[in-house]
Amino acid sequence: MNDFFKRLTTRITIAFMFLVLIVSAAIYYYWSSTIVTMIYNGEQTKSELLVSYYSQIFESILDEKDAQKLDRLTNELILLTDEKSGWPLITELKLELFDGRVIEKRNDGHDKSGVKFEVETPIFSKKSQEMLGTLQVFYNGRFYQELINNTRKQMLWAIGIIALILLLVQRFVSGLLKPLRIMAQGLNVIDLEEYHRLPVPRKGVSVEIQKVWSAINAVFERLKQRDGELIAEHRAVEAALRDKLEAESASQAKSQFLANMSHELRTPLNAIIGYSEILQEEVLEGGHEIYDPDLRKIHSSGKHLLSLINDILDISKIEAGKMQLYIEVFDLYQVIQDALITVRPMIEKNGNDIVLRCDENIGLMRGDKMKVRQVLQNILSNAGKFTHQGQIEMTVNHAVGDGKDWFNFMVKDTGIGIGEEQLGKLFQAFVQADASTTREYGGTGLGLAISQGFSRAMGGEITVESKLGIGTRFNLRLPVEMEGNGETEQSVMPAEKIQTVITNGGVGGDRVSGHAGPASEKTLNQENESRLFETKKVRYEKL
Amino acid sequence: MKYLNNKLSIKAISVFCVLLLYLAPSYSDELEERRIKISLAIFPKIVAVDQDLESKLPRDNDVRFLFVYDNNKSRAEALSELLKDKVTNIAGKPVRVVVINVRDVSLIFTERSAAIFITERLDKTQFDKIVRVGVSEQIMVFSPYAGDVERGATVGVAIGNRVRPYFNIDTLNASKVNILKKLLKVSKRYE
Repeated sequence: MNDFFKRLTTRITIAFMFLVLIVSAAIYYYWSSTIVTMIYNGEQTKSELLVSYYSQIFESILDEKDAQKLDRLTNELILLTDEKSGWPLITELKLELFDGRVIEKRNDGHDKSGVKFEVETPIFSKKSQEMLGTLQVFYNGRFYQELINNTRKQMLWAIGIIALILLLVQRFVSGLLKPLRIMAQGLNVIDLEEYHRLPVPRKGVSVEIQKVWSAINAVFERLKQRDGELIAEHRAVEAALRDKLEAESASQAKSQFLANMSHELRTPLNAIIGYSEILQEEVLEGGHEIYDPDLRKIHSSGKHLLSLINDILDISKIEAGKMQLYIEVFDLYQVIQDALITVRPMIEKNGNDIVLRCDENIGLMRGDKMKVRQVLQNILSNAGKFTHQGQIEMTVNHAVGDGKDWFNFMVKDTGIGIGEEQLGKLFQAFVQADASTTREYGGTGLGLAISQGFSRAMGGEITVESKLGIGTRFNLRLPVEMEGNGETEQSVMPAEKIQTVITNGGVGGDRVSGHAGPASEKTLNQENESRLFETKKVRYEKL
Repeated sequence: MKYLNNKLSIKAISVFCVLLLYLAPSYSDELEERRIKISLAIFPKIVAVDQDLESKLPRDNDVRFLFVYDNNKSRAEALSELLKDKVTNIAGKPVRVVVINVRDVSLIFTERSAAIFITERLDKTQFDKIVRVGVSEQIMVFSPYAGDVERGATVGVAIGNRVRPYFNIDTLNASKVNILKKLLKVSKRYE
């Protein structure tokens, strides 16, 4: 910016110098071509007029042949003087007559110019018309020189005044630019961290410049203010981000801890459930029915505890972004049937009817079979839990949308419904409609959060519509063909994305766990599983 | 009223224009008249510096001038009278003026003349004829009219800061008129 003003000032100075040179050259040209010539011609004219006048007198005197008069006339002519300066008009006079007479007179004491205006004129006789001779006169060149000197002085004064005026104009223009230059300098040295004010304009600076100055200062003030706000905002964002990272870290640690703990808990719990089943069978076979109710309580409590632990394990995996999908092609109708069989006892326990609207040949689905079944079980059991003496209707169909094939599941109940306020929290983990719901209906509040997490992991979505006291409708949409091959780990499933509505208590169902426990526990479970298989046929037959 | 004013204005402008047209040539004529009178005063003096003037005199030794005209004889006569009133002799020899029409000027004079004075503007043909006569007779052709020296007249007047004789050097040399070198030096020359 300073360079710009320096260049501008230099250019203006050069332009003015150039202008002075041009003006000087023009004046000099006018001087040499016109003024000098005019002055010279003027002096020449004066000399010629003077000689013309005197030549007439000489002609008359020569006709009279009066030598005294002629001498007087020549003296008069040579003594003619300028009254102002006192300089002689004629410096030299020569009257040359053809009769041989030559009268020559000089008066060049004052003429030091070296310039002479020579005029020579013939002298005729007025009587005989004959030419008597010539009169040669040298007019004083000092007048010319004086005029030249005076005019030259005036010219130089004029040039000087013009140069002075141009210099003043240049100074004025530079003066106009000076505040701008100072402002530019001020702007250049401004520390953006501090926003110093511009230096106070000097007196004499124009109002317009002062206004610009004030405007720039005002801009600085606003920038400073905004900078302060931005810094505060930035700090707040930083703090929030730090808190968020800490929270996420803590959440991840918690999820990791829960996952580990759930796994550690599940291993011995499976042993308890397995051994309680074995004991039940052995007690019945041994005729010790008295122990059967206690064993049942141990078994059901163990199962409940296992389901809770499974839920916690699932939600932990979802939140930690470590949930794995096992993609395979399966018959969807069969999976729906399996889910219904699982949840039917609970639905029927509350006196509900269940209706399934689904084509037996709805087709194959490519996805995680177990998770699809678990999601369906969760939604259905949720509906069964909050509906008494009502109807639960499940509709499944095939649809196309967003360039994909989809399976749409709709589970509609005539249960207690959900208030608008609670709908927003429905898919949040560990949250139920209200505290009373937990007390009345039980459950951990994880079922729908897990279902939403599974659905999204598979590329689908659960939505819910409900009216308090009338009923609820869950819509599940899952892609017919899930992308990926074989075992797929869902890398990130942020916790805040899992929004849920109502949580039900029991989410049962069999679980397949990929985790392996310690060697001693494994041995225990292996023993337990081998004894379980022995009784499974009986349970399925019952169903 | 306005109409009348306009009418009067138009009339005034018309009168002014007519006056201008009338006065402009008369002013020009007046200047020319003055020039002719000045020329008439110089003419005998220039003739007087002719070094061969003696040989150009007729038998009666009069200095004979031919005043040539084309259409205006009375003017030529008036000018001749004017000259005769002021100049009676040249170097003691009486002056005689012959007023003659340009068409009557012959290339071969029956009687010697000292110089020719053109009393009115001549067209090119007549002017050239007179110049040729001056050259063949070896006499000066004097024209008081501006521009005629450049056209070929031997001599005229140059009026500037002072009145000076104005010589056409080519015609002067062609006509072999021998004038004083001193006069030629102080005169204006067309070369």
